[in-house]
Amino acid sequence: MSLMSFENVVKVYPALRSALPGARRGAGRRLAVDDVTFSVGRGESYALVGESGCGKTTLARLGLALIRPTSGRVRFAGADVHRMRARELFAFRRRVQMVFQDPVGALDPRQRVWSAVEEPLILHGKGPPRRRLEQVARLLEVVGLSAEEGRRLPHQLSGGQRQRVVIARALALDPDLLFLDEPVSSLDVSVRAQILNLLCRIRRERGLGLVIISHDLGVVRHVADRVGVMHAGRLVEEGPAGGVLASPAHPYTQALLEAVPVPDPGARRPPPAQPPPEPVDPARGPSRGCLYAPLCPRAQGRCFSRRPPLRPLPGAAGTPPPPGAGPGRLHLVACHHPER
Amino acid sequence: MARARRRSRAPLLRVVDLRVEFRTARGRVQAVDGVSFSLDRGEALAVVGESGSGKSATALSLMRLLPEPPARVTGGRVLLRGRDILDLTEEDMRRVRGREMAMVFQEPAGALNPVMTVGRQVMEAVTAHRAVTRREARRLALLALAEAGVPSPAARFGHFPHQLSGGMKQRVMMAMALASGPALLIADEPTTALDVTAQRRVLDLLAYLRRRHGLALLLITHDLGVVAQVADRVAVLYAGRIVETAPVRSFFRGPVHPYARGLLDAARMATEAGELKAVPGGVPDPRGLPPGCRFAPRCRLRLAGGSAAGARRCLERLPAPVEVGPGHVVWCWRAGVVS
Repeated sequence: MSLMSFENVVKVYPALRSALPGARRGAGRRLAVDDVTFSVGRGESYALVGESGCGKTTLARLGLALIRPTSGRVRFAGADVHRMRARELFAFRRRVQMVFQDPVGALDPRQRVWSAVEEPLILHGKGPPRRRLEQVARLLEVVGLSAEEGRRLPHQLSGGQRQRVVIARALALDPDLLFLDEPVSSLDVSVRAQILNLLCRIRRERGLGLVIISHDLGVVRHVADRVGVMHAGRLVEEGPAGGVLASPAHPYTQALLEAVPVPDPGARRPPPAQPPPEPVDPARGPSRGCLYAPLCPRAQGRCFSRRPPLRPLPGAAGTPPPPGAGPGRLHLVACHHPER
Repeated sequence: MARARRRSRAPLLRVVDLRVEFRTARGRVQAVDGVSFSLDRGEALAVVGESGSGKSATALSLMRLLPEPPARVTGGRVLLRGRDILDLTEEDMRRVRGREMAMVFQEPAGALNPVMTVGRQVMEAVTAHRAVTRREARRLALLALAEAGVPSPAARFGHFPHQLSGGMKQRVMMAMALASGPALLIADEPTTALDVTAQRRVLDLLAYLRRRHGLALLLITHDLGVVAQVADRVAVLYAGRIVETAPVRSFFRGPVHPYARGLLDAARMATEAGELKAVPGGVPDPRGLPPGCRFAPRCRLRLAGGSAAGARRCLERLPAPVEVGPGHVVWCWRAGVVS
């Protein structure tokens, strides 16, 4: 059974009036999430991939019940998270936690590490002070921080150590599901692998479900069981991480993967004869067709007039879903001309 | 031009033993600690490093754009066509910036004036170095925008920066840098703030500009994927010192310094499956560096299969350069000992 499910979720942000000169007037509402359906199983690691503005962070905020959907439903263990009463919501907040991209902004600069990790335990009335301190000590050990580091202030820690503190705090209430918004993108390259290895270990040991939001396909490759690719507020491809990354079917997923610079000078592309043009941001909105069509090399007539539904990849019979696997194991794509 | 031709056998840029110091409330920090490299005309050198490596301080000191104080260039020479630009008056330096070398930054939004149209900003970059009529300045600005890959530049001339996407702003900044026809472009993390597809286009643009205009490129980056796609040579910086420098193919065939190898492992994780090899520890505090190899406290090789005396040497004495291949030099006591 799925732990959290998004069912036909739509989120529209109202238009903002801009005071800047020349701003587009009447640019209208922003359709941030456009009819998205997916689910995350217990102990599963699901990655939402896409570029800035594709709606992935809005999805996380919806899943954490920080904002309400315009329509559709988000369920956690069967219950609609946006219809919970105060007490249910309090319990929900214990079971679903969040790690933000920037550990500096997520920590109080005047609060010592120890106290930051203890705070959720106090708020949720977890035991007497001595028990709490034992728990904090255990949590710091889990994320690989020493007792001495536990007595420091955030500015006395490195970026990687700060992210460990944020992870320890998110784990304090022993949640079932953790949302991670770009968990390593603010960290130095040599430190990222440590944090990713830590997340994988914690997940294995605790049976923790993860929803990882990232634009970094390297992160996804190493941490996710399943991947959902978002473009312009829509889920355009979903499936097991290995399948989607090894043989993407949607032209957008293919473009994303192709754009990653390969650390091999032998794979260098010849310099172009013309300056590569910067594409003009295609208008997003209640288009009847595929939103990727204006940029798509495979777009044909109906791509512009009919929205492709997210459905199982045709011809994927060669890779039957493992026995007992639900529809979640399928490789789905929203494209009129999928190609692997 | 005549002078440039006479000196054409000398490298375009030669940096010798550059030292930059920052004075902070908690003492002095040697951000750049004796960095030397050279760059030929049309060549692309990537300076690779993480936060605190001194890569941005190096780039800014070449443009003489370091904020002084707290920063101060305490030693070294920066020879542009044989002339030390550290000795130039501010007025002479202004002529060098833009006309001989230009810089693009990581955050295009911060480098553009939010209340001036992008067209006027590019025109300003043109007229700063050339006495031309308004009409001619406009023509050159449109040309620079087109060369930077801005589609229908005339239509975008009157736009303000906030009306453009991040990728488009990066292009406008590139157009401003190109407007005066510099021989050297310094690009400090030019793609870090961009999405991967926009990054790909900027990398293609840099490749195009190098071919079309014979532009030399000094690329500051932390991403070895970007290096492999753009650079001719690499210099890896750690805690203010170069630890390895090599032609790009030689480097990617086999980096020798354990830190460079760790960076390449991390970069390969983006495109290859398999277990993640982590570099232990964090980016070092510049106030607590050992007198020897700066990387020694995080280094696995320091202790692996060596003697105690060898491990002590790593911490106590700066490694001497070892040439491990043509143009491939590494600063590591263990280079060649442990492979």
